[in-house]
Amino acid sequence: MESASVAVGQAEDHHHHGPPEANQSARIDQTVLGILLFILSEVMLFASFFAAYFFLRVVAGDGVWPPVGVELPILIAGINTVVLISSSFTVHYALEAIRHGNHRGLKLGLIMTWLLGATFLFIQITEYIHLGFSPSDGAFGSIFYSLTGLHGAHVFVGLLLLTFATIRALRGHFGPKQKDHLGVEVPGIYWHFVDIMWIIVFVTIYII
Amino acid sequence: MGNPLKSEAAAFRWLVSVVVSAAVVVLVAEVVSSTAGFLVGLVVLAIYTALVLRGLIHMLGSPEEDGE
Repeated sequence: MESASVAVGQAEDHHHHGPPEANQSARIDQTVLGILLFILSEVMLFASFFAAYFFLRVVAGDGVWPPVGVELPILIAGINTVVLISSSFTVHYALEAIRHGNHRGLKLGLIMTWLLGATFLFIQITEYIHLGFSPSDGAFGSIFYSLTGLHGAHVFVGLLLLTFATIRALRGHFGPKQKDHLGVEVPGIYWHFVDIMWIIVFVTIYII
Repeated sequence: MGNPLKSEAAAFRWLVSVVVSAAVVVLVAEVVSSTAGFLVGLVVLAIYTALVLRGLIHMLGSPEEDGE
């Protein structure tokens, strides 16, 4: 009896290789669900930092916010915002180029995006050096560096992803079909997310 | 605007829309007051949250619901 069931099992194995297909109980496919959960966890991470920012601002009450003696370089941060938004346009250009089979445009777009992203980080680090206050200088200093630093870390990760995509593009990878340029599409989506988060950070900290 | 998780083009449209919304918030904050800018920002955030939730409900629905 046992040997018979083993024989049946072996016969099934003969016809089917690998694990059984996953059951899909929702419209969303597994890859998109994975990206969705990742992005949602990132949104919640940023939301917790924004909650801390607004809590500190409310607690400050009638006190001056930012505190006396703190001068935020709004113009520099505004220019940096334009730099980062421009990088979203260049990554979009890169993807439009490869969708039309233009490999030169893809390479140019990715290199431009990388340079703009690196410029953003460079300006932010330079801003940190010249700000005149540190994370240990009160609640404002702590939340300012936490929020902008959290975003800067995301830009750094985005730059790593773009580095891999650019190297692959320079080696002639990627093609016009969507499945052939996923290696650019996914970093592109992540890059737009990082840009959107910066716009919210900029408006919250520097403008409102 | 499309699902920003499925294609970069849709994510780009979301970005452009956020840039325009942020420009409105900045304008109100500079011309009127920070509080007014904050309130407009809250309204914009509520609109985007509603759009995202609507998209999520559609995405996470069962395939049997629409006979897929």
